Amino acid sequence: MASAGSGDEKAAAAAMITLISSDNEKFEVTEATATLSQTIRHMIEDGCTDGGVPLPNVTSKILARVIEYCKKHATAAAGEEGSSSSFSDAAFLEVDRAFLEELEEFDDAFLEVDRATLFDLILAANYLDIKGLLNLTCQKVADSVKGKTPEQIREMYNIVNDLTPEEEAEIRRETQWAFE
Amino acid sequence: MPGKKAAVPGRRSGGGIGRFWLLPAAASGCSGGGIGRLRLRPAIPGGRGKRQSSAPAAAAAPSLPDDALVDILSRVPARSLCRFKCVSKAWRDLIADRLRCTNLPQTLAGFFLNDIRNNGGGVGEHRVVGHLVDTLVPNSGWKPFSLSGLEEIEDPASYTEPNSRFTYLIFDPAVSSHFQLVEFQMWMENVQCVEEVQIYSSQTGVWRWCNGPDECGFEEDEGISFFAGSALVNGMLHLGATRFATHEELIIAVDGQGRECWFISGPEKRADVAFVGQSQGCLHYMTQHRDSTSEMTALSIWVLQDYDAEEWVLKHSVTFLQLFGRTNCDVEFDYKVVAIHPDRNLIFFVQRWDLKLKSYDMDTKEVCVVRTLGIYCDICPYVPYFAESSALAYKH
Repeated sequence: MASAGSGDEKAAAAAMITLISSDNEKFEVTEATATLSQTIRHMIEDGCTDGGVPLPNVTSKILARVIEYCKKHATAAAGEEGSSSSFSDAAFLEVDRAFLEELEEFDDAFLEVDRATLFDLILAANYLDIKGLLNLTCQKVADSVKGKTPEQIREMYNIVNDLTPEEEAEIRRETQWAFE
Repeated sequence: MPGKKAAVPGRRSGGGIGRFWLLPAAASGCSGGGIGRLRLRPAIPGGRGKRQSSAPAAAAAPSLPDDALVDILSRVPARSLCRFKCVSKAWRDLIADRLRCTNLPQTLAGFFLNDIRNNGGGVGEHRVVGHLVDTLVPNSGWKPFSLSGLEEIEDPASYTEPNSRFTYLIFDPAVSSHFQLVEFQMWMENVQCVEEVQIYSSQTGVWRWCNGPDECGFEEDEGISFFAGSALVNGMLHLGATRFATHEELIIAVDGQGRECWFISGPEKRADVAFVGQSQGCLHYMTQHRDSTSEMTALSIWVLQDYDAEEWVLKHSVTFLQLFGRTNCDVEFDYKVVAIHPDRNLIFFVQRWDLKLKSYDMDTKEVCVVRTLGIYCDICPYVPYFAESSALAYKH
């Protein structure tokens, strides 16, 4: 907040941050959008965002998606703060509900990506420390693996089974109920 | 009268009807454990048309950090989790290393056996001595949580030792990292009639009396079946109870603040309660069926489907012949139900005459011998909780 004048909230809200992807593409975002990332929030607090924030672990393709997510959810967060004072107001709750539904639809559509992109999004969410996005993407993967057999998991993720037959038998014996 | 120490809720020595409260030690210093990064590579799409466009990204082969994988695994059911141990060594170790996986689902991991012979039961030193029968996860590190030195009572001078007492833990990490202990105290010879209730809150760190049984809603002609398990449902502690005057079987529900208390009618007005427990979020109530010749022949498992409407549904019934290979078995004398699995239709019981810990699966109707205990011991289910708890942080 070093750049924001004392009490000049409008200036703070309008402050823009430049994010630089690993392939050197620059993205201008509002501070409200950028601070969904705890990592960037800390950088802003430390006043080290002048000249842009380089994100060497995130490609422009993934960063564009992440920003898309943050923009949508930053609006949602702002809406929540705005309406919290009149929480008992039924009309506001109605608006909130409609907005939450819209947000849910957005999230569903957002997750319509191939597996590799999903993993990249998890990595980016993890690196940028964006809780909501990490939750969303991890849940998506969890939903896709639950109920699968170990063989199916190995196949899905190209994992080599390095357990000896004895070790595998041991695991199956220990938790036999899980394999029934 | 060692005022302060006497206030430590003691386990009952002998009789096997006591209960322990276990909180595995906070896994301090265990994050960043020694397992390497797991490689979870998306399969390179082989000729699957549309996927081809993502080939460059797939070639970049992202590997997920352990934290993210733990996050993912914390969202799959226990059954899948156990199966996934077979995927590879890295997966096995990550899943087995529950100390690191603080978020993995909390489910029944085994039983604590408390060898009565080894436990002096001395005042002030109330820890679980014994060993763990692992049913699901071997080598899961655990430490019993000791209550000694934990609590101070506000006015030790007014304290006298009750004839007996039973202490229950109210703890749901999904709701709060804080816990409460509810202690029922009895001064009379009649062990079932509660006279005082004391409540400990980890938030305040002190024991507090409920002002007499009336505040907690107890009447003189009601007794609690302390031997028959307990259940935490909707944040309330539930115990089997009997109203002597009318021979009514009830369930008493008590909250952790000692403010609320109510009774739920049992599914059958007159029944022999064998166990009260929680499974799949619902209150379960087991009764033994007495036939016309007064022989106990079967176990009925009821579930409280609609809590508010007190709607009991008979979930399952099984004959003692099938469970034990003999008829006319009486709870406590011949067998003891020790647990119902929190996520499955599975019950565990000890067969007294040969000290076998057995399980019964309501879905497959299969009876299994889990372990021969060898000696008679107190037994209580173990559901690990490894997250760092601020409520316990200052204890060790």
